[in-house]
Amino acid sequence: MAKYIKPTLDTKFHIDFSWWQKKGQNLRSYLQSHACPPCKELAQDSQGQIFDWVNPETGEVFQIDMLWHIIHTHCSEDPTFLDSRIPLTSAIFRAFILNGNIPLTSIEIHQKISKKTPELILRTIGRRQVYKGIKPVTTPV
Amino acid sequence: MTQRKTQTAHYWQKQFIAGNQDLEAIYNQILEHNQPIRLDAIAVDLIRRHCDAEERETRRELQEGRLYQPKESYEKNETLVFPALGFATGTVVSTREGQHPGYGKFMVISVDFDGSTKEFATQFDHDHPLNMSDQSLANLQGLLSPEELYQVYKDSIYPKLKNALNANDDFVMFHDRYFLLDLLPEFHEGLFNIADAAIDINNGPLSVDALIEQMGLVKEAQEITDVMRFSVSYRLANDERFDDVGPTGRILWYLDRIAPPEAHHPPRRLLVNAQPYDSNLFDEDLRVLLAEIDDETINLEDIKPLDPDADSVIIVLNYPHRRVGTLPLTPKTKPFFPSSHYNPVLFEFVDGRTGNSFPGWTVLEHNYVFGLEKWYNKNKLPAGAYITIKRTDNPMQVIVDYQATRTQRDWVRMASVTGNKLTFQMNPAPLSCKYDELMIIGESDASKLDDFWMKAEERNISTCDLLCNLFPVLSKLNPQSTVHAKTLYSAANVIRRIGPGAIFQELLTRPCFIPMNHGYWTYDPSLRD
Repeated sequence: MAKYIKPTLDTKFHIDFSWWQKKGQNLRSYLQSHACPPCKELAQDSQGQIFDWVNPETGEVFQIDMLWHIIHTHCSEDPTFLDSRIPLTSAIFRAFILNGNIPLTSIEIHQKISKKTPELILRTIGRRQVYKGIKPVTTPV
Repeated sequence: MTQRKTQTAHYWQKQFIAGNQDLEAIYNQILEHNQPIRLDAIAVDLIRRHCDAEERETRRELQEGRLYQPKESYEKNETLVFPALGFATGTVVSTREGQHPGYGKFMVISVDFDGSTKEFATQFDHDHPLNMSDQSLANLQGLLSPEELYQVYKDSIYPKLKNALNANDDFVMFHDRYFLLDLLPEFHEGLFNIADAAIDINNGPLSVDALIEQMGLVKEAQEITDVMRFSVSYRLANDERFDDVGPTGRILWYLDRIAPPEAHHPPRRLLVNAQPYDSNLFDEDLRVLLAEIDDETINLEDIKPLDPDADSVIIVLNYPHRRVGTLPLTPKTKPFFPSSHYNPVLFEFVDGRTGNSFPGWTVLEHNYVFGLEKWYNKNKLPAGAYITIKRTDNPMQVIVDYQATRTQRDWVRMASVTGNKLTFQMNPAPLSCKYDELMIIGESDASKLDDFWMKAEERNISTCDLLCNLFPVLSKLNPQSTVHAKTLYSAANVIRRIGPGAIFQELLTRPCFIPMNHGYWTYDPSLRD
């Protein structure tokens, strides 16, 4: 197990797709909870389709459910996608869907979702227990 | 990943020396450019060479693997270095076609990292930071560039490089630009006699371009090259008849025999036996006073920054500067005068009363401007007078003025020598200028004071003894028997060039000096240690 290093406000986070693979969790099912009705309609045609997502920093490739791309492209125009009424953790996950999973610090996440405080965001996603694959960016091989 | 040595202070401060290989490279650099090159540019290039050498070494250490870039294509069994994964190395084990709804098709390689496998995009010719052109390891590791390294370690690199170049006969230098001796053109000695005569006839300095024309080295001014300017300037700088008197960025040649001795040698009255002080020991009163006194010995951090756009500044003239016709160059006054780190600069003072101009010299090396003795005498300005310095549209002309008043007889602290002692008495004296009442010093016989000053210099008494001698004579002038710190500074400088910091430190550290309020002090001889 990797050594836990306590994240700070300067630590960058992202959704670690390998976490989903290792945990055997179904990303598509979770993504469904973020899809708006039109996305869900579009997603019906993409059932079982995957695409090669390219990490914007490392060039690493992960095969991801097509629903990610549908939400990313369709909901990026929707101002209610980061509605203040959704839970903090969901808003953080959605922020990463919208920006293509480019790593962000707690401060940058706060600027995007305009919820709570950077410190609270850090306390939420910086714990030892990983929530929905949102992890500090590390460069281990 | 280990830290690169060229990124460390230890390397540039302790290990680095400009060796033969460096000098050879610099020789070739100048030869290739066939132009004089600034030492700063030479230094940055040298740092780049050292960094590049280490880069090559680092790449060798990384098993000569190619740096992974998404846009490139790679073969099976090829070893790659992954900059975004802590420079891990891995081997390509398989390839497959990849697809992305936005990017279209590209290739995906599987890479083995000692047992664990990851996939990476290849032939992916889209915007990606790893596809940027500068793919040196140094750049990818976020290391300081040669320019940044030079900024950080200039204090170590600059003098080492300069010493190495100056010690090598192949290189010639003028104003921190270096050229090759072998590339200097030959000049007939007689040409420099012409230059001498040209400056003499001009009765003022001449630019290097004007001299080149006068020396007949070109037919048209447009033919003058940078190498020619450098070569002539280098020869003139090494001929004791000539002085460069131009400000930074301008070379103006003058004759040494016309320049006053003070352009090169500081007057003895201004020579300070620098005594370090620590203003952290000072209370608020003394810190404020320190910042108010215009003295070139004050540490930069103790002086309030001046508005850089200010058109004028007012300073209080102290006794040594009054006597030798100078003004101190402090952070307050420096921006008003043309100056150069290489040489004294000849400029023009403009009398703020009459508009008449007269020569002035900025001697940055010794922190003074010279040329005001006659002006002080003509206007009967005492030590303590407020002097105004103003900019003009011409940076080579500086207005000097004082705050004129109707002539009246004021009570002035007059310095005189009685027996073998310096004394002060309050006497009425005619004054026609505004002045700092705490700093003003008059004199009845300057030559006697000079004799006393010379003897005091020879005796070289301690600062404490100096202050202990002054306190009784100054305290008699005040009904409260107190002496203001500024007055003490002003009076001490009649017989010893000494900065206010050193005086204030002495006041604070000796029990015989007792602080009163608002900068005033008393003296108890019984507590003298």
